[in-house]
Amino acid sequence: MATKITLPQLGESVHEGTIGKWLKQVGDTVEEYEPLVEIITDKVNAEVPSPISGTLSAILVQEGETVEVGALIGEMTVVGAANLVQSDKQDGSKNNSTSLEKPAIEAAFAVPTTPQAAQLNQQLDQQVEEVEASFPNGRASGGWYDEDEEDTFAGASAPTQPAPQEHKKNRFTPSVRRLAEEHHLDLTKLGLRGSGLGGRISRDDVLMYIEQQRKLRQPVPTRALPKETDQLAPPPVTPMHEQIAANTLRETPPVASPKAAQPSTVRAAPRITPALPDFSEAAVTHSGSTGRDELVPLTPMRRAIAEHMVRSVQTSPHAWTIVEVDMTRLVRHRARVKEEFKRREGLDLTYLPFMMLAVVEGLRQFPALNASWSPDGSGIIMKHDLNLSVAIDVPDGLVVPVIQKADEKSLVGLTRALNDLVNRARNKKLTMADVQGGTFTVNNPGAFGSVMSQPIINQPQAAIITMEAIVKRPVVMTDSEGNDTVVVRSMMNLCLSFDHRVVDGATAGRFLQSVKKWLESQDFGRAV
Amino acid sequence: MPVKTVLEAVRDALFEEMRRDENVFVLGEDVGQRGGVFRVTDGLQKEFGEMRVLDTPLAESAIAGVAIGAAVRGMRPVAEFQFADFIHPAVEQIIDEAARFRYRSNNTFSCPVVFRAPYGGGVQGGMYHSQSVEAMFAMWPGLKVVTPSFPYDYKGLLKAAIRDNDPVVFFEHKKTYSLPSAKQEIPAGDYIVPIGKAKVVKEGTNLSVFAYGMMLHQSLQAARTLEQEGISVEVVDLRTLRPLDRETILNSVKKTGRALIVHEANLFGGFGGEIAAIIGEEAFEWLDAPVRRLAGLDVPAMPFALALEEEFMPNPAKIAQGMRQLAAY
Repeated sequence: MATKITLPQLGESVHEGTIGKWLKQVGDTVEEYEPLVEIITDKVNAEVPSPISGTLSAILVQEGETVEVGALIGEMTVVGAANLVQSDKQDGSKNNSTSLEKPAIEAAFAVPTTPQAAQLNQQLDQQVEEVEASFPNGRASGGWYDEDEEDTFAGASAPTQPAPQEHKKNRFTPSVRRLAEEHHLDLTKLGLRGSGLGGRISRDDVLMYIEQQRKLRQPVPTRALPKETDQLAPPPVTPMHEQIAANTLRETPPVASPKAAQPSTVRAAPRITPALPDFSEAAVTHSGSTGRDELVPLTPMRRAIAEHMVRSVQTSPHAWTIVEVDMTRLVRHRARVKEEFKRREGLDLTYLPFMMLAVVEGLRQFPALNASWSPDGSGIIMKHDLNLSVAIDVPDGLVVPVIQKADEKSLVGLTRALNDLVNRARNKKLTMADVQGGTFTVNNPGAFGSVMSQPIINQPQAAIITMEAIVKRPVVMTDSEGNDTVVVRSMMNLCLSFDHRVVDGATAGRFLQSVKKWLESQDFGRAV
Repeated sequence: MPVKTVLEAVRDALFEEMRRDENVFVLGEDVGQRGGVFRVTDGLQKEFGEMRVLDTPLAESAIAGVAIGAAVRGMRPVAEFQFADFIHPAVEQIIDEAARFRYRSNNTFSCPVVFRAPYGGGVQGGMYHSQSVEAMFAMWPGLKVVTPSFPYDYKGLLKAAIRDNDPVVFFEHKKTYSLPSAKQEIPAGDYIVPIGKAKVVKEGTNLSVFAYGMMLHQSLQAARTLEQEGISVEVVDLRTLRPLDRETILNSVKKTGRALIVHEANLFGGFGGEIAAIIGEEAFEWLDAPVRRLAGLDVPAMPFALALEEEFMPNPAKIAQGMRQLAAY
């Protein structure tokens, strides 16, 4: 029995992976669950365990190659089964796939991908025909789909659809042809890569392309933003929200050239993902190169970051706001307790966990920011868990792991969680569970001396906050008698980018005031 | 408005129509004294007497023949077949006689009869109490075939069927008779739902699903699951198989570009093939994926063993998976 080994789904937004190392070679005997191959994705590195006990019969994707999730990467054979049914017909072929377990439907739809696979399919077809002949009415069938397939999208099992192949790229459905004709498009020359199965260009991909071209050609007229009102919109979307969303979207200029984005194949939501032209030759050679430029191939992480960033600015109308926070009390408090903290907990006490406590308090008061615009635009998804994503720089990029249920953690708990994530992020030991489920992001560009930044929302969240560098500044303070004095205080900016579809400026402002108030006046003695 | 089950809606329609028109009468096995095996006709004989609620012998061809004869002479009979599985002895009467009366008499006679038949499986009824035979009747010109899904439509369409001047085969999915999720508030008084009109019961943009009866309810459930996954499914309740509402079907496919047909009857030769053909012929240039069908397995009959019955029937999980695969195409 030949078992297909496919690239597993290693996370909700992981679309592809690179073969790091084959831990077994063709011909090796492998036990069930024994590590078979190492996969590198933009988020995690993982070892794929063997699905069965048997022999690795084919390696179809070599080390260093990158393929999409679900792609066939290798095949295994059960030695016992092959021996059991070996017959003259197999001609001593290496891959004795003679099991009848594979459904006839799959055999009928399977597309030969490699000589080995073609051979397998041929043998299988033959077997199925024999069995069918023994049934007077042919094989029982209740439809086109494969009932053995559990759930392709959750990655619960190997998809039985043929692995994504380029063969679908230039096959167009009637609706796509009609649209192309109406808009005078030569689909084969656009360099589009579709969001459909096997990279097929779908009707919606073409519609989106046409829309993008239209936007690029026509400069968008500027109009005044509608006055912001602070109506905390309960789901589903109120007409006012929709209107603001529509207006702001219309006023968002085309932020990125379509050439800057990678195609995405989030199949669970096939109509949402924009399918954009690839990094084409034209894009690389057209830049007036002096000949001394160098094209550095993208790492999976770089590619994922690029895709996420472009998608985020295309998806959410970002609005940006800043408040100044007087950190003097907190700075003094930290200086006072950090030695003791280190002795007691064995950890350095930084400002970030304080910031997180403040953010948690703010989100408790303004849950509208702990939310998400629903993918189909039918409402706003309120998150009842409060999971803080935190951006951590790693040698070749950036990862954003999550502190789950941050609202249930103390200062010590947050410090520990943070330390753990930082350590594992830098040692590439994060698991999928570590990077999923975030509802709001906290970023600390202040660590690099930044005093003001304009963060990009971590989709599909509603907002992201940054803490900037704490710097001493002259500040005017007013005493209880109304006298103004210039004093030196430790000041810090908090910058917030929020999705203007989900909330408005007043809510964002009140949230920031709440965070500021916590940082300026909290009784820290209790917090530590 | 009172909340009614499918069963109560059918019963209400019978009561109201029999009160409205004294030519309406009911006949079938155990429909009188017993009130029907499903209790649909419970109370009818008490109110309208033995002459208008007739218990018949176990002879389906006679039930159909008597009803057809009475209809041709101006009565409005509602003939019940206890299970759609038992309708086969009456097929000759229904197709060769009822369906053709108007045609062969050059419009001199019509045959305003209603044949009611509880159909469908998932109730552990085994081979002889589970069949879905609608496609067999939908293929004959001269017959109207009605397959509602919700109480409101059951009542309004049964009334329309009784008042129709031509023969109507009225299928009632027995699993939905008292299905809690199929309950609905419906008006107490008289209203009609016209025969031949489908209904979009859930709007969507990514793909269209066409179904009726129990499969309609399961498709709706699957569509709600997919909504959570970001796939927007339009669900169309066909309500009538013949005359078929092509316009609603085609409009939906032209909007979404993808079509899935779900029925419980066998795949091969099932009604889904007709819908697929119409879409292929008339909406070809709007299609963005192959038209797909999901149906009962092509085995001789619904198995009795629970595990096998479940294997045979489509269900929300299978339908959801079919939808996902079609959406991903």
